[in-house]
Amino acid sequence: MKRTLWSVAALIGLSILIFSLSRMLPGDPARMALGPRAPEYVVEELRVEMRLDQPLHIQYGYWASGVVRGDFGRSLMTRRAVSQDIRAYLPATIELVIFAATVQVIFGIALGVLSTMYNGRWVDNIIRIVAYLGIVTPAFVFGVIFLLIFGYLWPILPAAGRLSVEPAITGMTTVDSLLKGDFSSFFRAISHFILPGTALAMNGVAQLARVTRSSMVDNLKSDYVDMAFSQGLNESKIMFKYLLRPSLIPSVSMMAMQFAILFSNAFLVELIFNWPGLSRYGVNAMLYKDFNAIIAVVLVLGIVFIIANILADTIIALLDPRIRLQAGKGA
Amino acid sequence: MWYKFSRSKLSVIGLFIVVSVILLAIFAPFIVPYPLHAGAYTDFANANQAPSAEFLMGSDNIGRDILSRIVFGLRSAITMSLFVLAISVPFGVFMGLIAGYFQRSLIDSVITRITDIFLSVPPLVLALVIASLLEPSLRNAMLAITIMWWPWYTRLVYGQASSISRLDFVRASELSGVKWWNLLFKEILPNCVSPILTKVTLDMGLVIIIASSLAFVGLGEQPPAPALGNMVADGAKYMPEQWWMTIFPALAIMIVVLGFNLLGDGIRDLYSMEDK
Repeated sequence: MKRTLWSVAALIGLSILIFSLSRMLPGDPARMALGPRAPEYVVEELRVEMRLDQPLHIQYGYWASGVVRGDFGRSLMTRRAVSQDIRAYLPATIELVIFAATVQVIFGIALGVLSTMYNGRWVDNIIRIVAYLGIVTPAFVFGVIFLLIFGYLWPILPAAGRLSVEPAITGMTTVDSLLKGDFSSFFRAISHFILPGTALAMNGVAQLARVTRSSMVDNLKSDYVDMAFSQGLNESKIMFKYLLRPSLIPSVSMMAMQFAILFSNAFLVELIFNWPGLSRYGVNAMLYKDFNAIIAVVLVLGIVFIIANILADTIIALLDPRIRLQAGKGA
Repeated sequence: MWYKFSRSKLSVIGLFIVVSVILLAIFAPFIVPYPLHAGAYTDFANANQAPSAEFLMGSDNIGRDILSRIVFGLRSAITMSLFVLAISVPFGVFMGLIAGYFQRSLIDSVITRITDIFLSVPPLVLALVIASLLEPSLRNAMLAITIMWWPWYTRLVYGQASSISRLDFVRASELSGVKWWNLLFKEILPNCVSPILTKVTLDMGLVIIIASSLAFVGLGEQPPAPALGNMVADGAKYMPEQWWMTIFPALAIMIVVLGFNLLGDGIRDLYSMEDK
């Protein structure tokens, strides 16, 4: 709880930092909004409207009071309210990131377990080499390679954009098509996720496989596992019932960090696969110097980051009875 | 020490990659077949050539040799990493040391809160934002990455410094009148060297990833300078016909980062062996 409050405070600090940077740097936002040909008096009017003529802390005050009401100002790029843009683009990104996170959890942990079961043998070695390559490859390189292979050379999967399901209910194509009971568009929606989602997930799959493996191999040497073996329990039962659960704790705390990294790598992957999400919107805003939109995107990501950390703490508590009991005592 | 290090083949491979990339970077103008092609050069007669004896990795859409551009791209990537770490590591380490030593003081809480601000959003996002607020260029990309990099070192050193400053020998030297800065730099800092060194090596690769991501998006080094991220992004427009324009720069990034990672892991193993 205390940690959450501090993270919110940190976000406020971040907003002050970015806000002042955006206002203090050379370049006139009003002039940029209107273009070089607009007459000076029109620019001057906009400057007053944007409160650029007032001191920085007052500008921040107006801006912050808007944010509290959910008003991030107007986007220079789309000429719509930024909050409206975010509502339009955020679902696509969340959906993509959740898909990628699912891929990470399933494949990362499966590979980690497999690696432990074949500890030291060739399966283990291959998994470790592949994991190493996964860690050193930037997400955009995976994106480009996937695009080359599955988009052009062997086009079995849709390589650009995503399905649009009308009318949008939640804005998430998979959820919307399920809500309408339309399974064929559900599967088509899923097929759009495979390339960008996997490209996004690769890095985390590799990290997670490594962390899971090393923590399982460590626990393999512990006394309670020895005891389980000596009682003659079969191997897969030991692996999954006794060994995996405590070994997942480092993996889960890494997942929280990975979740944040997924959002930042989405900035690259959405660009490659032309995915209409928040990150592509954010990159365009950055290239366009659309300050209201930039700050809003960063704050939304910050909030997601906080939520991910809370979730991770909760899951760790569920996995580890020691932490759970301590929290129950109110310690 | 070398004997212990060389027992792991992977670390030796890592060291080999790192040394050869650094040599390539230093002697780039003398090694590459077409040094002029690293800049704004056009030769439409030789545009879009597939890899051949003349252009080992092919040529791009305006006739520049991809291999030459990759070597120069590596050069700027390495320079950039060195610059970023040369500034952010000493600064971050110093902040971590004083925050860890003066525990529960005003300095401690101010520094901790500031690092919290920088760590409250994913690193790449913050670098993108800072780079976009400034004009996109190599210098500003370096600046943006430096600004977001130091808090990680503060955090790393903070934990070490605070646990060491609680040890008896530190209390004893304080009582016998050793000045705090002597304690910090002569007693506490040497105890943090091995994790710092490991992280610096791994970070050389990470900075290259972040920098090329910035360039990929268009917020890093600007054309016609040969940045690896730019080259991947440019080449992606000409896929699949001119695949060499994308794949070779992408491979170059992977190999450099792999080298630094292998070396970093090797260094870490070396220190953990010494602990035993």
